Amino acid sequence: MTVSFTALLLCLVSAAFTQNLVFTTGFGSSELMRVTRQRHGFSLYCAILTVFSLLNVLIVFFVMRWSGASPVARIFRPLTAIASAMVLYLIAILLVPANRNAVFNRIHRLLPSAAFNSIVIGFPLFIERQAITDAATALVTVLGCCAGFYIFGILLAEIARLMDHPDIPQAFRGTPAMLLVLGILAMALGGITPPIVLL
Amino acid sequence: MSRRSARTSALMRGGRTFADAFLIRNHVLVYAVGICPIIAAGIKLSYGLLLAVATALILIPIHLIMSLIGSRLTAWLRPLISVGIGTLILTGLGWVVYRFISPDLFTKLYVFFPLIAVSALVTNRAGVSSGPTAFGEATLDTVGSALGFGLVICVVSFVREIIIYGTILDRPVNAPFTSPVAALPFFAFILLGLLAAFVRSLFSWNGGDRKE
Repeated sequence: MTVSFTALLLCLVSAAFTQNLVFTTGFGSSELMRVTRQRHGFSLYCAILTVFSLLNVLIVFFVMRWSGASPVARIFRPLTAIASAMVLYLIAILLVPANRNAVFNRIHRLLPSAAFNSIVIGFPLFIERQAITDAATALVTVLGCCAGFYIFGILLAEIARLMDHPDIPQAFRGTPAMLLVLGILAMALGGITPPIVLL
Repeated sequence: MSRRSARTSALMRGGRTFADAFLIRNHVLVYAVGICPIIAAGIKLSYGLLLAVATALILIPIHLIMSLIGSRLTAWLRPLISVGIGTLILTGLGWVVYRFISPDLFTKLYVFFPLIAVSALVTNRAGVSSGPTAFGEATLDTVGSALGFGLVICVVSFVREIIIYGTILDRPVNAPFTSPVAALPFFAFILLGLLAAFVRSLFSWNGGDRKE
């Protein structure tokens, strides 16, 4: 089944914004809150995350097509998603050895959390649940998701600075306020498109 | 220091470590670690209980194994080993749930098993402890973290099940109202934020959020 360019573009935009996985399912929300606090290396982290996500979804997509939808295949589906991420991580460790230069060192430090991010692992299983049946749509959706992760990460980094303001009650300062902000953003985005139902 | 007072002091230290990990510095409420399964799957108490058991089942063995062999592994290998062990345990748990508990429950929740295996709650715990005292306190810390995650997911699932379905563990209760809106992620984010603020106000914590 061929998918038109317009449909793919709409898919990209909706995956980035209105149906961003972070706000519609919570995938990647912990990592988003963690990396926005760190501020340095966020762009590099998102680039590595995008590469891992694209490669992992491609591998698992074709493994799923080959193995089918039997109960036994389903039981091993999570194992497939993680095994593929582990192989990609090993390849990345071999290609980007530590102590070579400053850039390689930075990439090396970010590899574990980028390779085993819940977007990388959860997305291939998500596309099966959403019955996405062609590789182009799957790739564009994960690209949009990672783009949305980057854009909202920049937004949340600025908001995180404000959430430590002394005018905010002590009990809400930091993580509680950030969680409320994420909830309000999720509420706003949920009002634009129908929510994704995972269960 | 006498042996009795040394033992009392060790017990108090252990108790404080457990209480810190379980509630005072609960990783979910303080550092927002491992919130994905809570947001997406915490809509029924039965789901919350299963995911809490799954988290405990991988967190504690991984800690024990990594305490034994972690110091011999290079830094880049440790997350790989801990994720691998977690995945094997959760695959086995998935089989048990599918065969002996409920195939429907497995079909609904299998998406979240690998997310628990790679959660920072697991990979950050895959550290190295040396010496019996450090091992004991690290074990209490791990058990406290696992139970703390279980507490949060069960509380969130309990509240959401009552509001969404008017049931607790699929048994109807006299809920004053029901609303499917509580199944949406925003409700879980807000509920977690309020819980985090409540716990913080209880213990009047002035430390600020630790950057991980």
